Amino acid sequence: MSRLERYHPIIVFLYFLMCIITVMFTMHPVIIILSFVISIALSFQLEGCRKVGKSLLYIIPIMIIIALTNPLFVHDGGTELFFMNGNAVTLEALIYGVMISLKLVSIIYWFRAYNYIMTSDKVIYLFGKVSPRLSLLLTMSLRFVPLYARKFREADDASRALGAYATSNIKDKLMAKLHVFAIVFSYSIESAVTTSDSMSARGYGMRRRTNYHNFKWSMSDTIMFLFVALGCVTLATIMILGYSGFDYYPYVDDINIGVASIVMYVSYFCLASIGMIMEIKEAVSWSILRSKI
Amino acid sequence: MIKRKSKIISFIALVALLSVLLFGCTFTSVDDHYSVQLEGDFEVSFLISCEKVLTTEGAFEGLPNTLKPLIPKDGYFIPKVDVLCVEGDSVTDLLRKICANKNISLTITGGNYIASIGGLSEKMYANNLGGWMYKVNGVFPNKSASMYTLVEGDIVEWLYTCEPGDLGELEW
Repeated sequence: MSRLERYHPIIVFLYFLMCIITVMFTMHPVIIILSFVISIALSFQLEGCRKVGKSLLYIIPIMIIIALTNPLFVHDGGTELFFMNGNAVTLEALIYGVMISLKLVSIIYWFRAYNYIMTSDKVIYLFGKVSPRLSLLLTMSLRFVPLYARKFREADDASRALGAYATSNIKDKLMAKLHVFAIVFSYSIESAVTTSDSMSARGYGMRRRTNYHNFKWSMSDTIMFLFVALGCVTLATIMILGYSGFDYYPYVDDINIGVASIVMYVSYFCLASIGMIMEIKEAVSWSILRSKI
Repeated sequence: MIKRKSKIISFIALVALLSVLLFGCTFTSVDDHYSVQLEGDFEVSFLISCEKVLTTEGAFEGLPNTLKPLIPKDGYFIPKVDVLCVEGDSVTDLLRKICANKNISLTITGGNYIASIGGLSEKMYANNLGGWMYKVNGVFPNKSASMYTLVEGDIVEWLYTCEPGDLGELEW
């Protein structure tokens, strides 16, 4: 249960939207690195160290592969490290690859935090009036991936208990796994039919269907909105003026430390860390209150 | 026990695959690549010019900041020189040798297409226009540079074009 969950959904949505869009449309290394650090820190705060740490462990090989792929295909940089098949493998291409992989992973972790906070009732509240079909589609398809993964694990465990994997023959084991897959597949089709019948009987997808929401707008929502809006406006003006451009080829640009650039870095840092600041504030005040008991 | 064995097998398979792929590639160090001697049977004239970048309005300002000091002031990466050329060399082969000899970076994609010479690459004018074209004896051969075989006395020019038609290639 986190502080961000208790805000009005539209504020949280706006906050994540701004953070993600800003990092998507720039290649500036300061913004990418800030976004990477803050998004992972936010995920740590929301979901706990163990889970996020484990996922990080799995994602690091992917990051390395992406970073190494860029110099193999792009030969544009100035400092050549060595030549492969007549093409230059350059330092700038490697740096660009590293930036691309950091950007990708930071966006993944922003979406991970977003997914943790924006539960289906919040998404339906936000988009239900606009497009009930779209919000329904989104929440259902996002629900299915972990659901079917869990069902596969259950069927797999049951098959193992029944002795389906007891043979040492690889072909038999493969056939048993395929059988489990077929089970989950037929389960998914059947459950789709029954789920859709039940949902249409309860009136989902109709524009006039109301849901129970207790999202009230409070003072803290106004404060958060002001912070987010301030961060967005400063960031947007500076980026439109062109300070978020950064060249990597033929040589890496110098990181600009003029006034406008520093304002851009600071405002992105403030905007992105609003989520973490709220969480930390809550945790600190909670521990203070607890120590008084 | 079996799980660990299959992990070891798949790891060995991956390492084997990578080593096969890597041994198929040729690796040369930077010094080896740039120490190419120009020797051959006959002489050919050669020049590389990026004059259009300096004369077209807004082209130089639109380049990346780190590229601007690398563009030669007179617009010639290589002014007109006479070089020795081996029998059967195509324009691309000669370009490779000369750039390796004179320490100019060259990017060739797909074995045939010249993407950048000396850091000036295609699509650097108005975000989407610009590229390298070559002339032999004053005409554009309209062939891929790797398909044009040189003969004695040819005059090869590599020119950077900014706007369509500014090198006169569209006039018949």
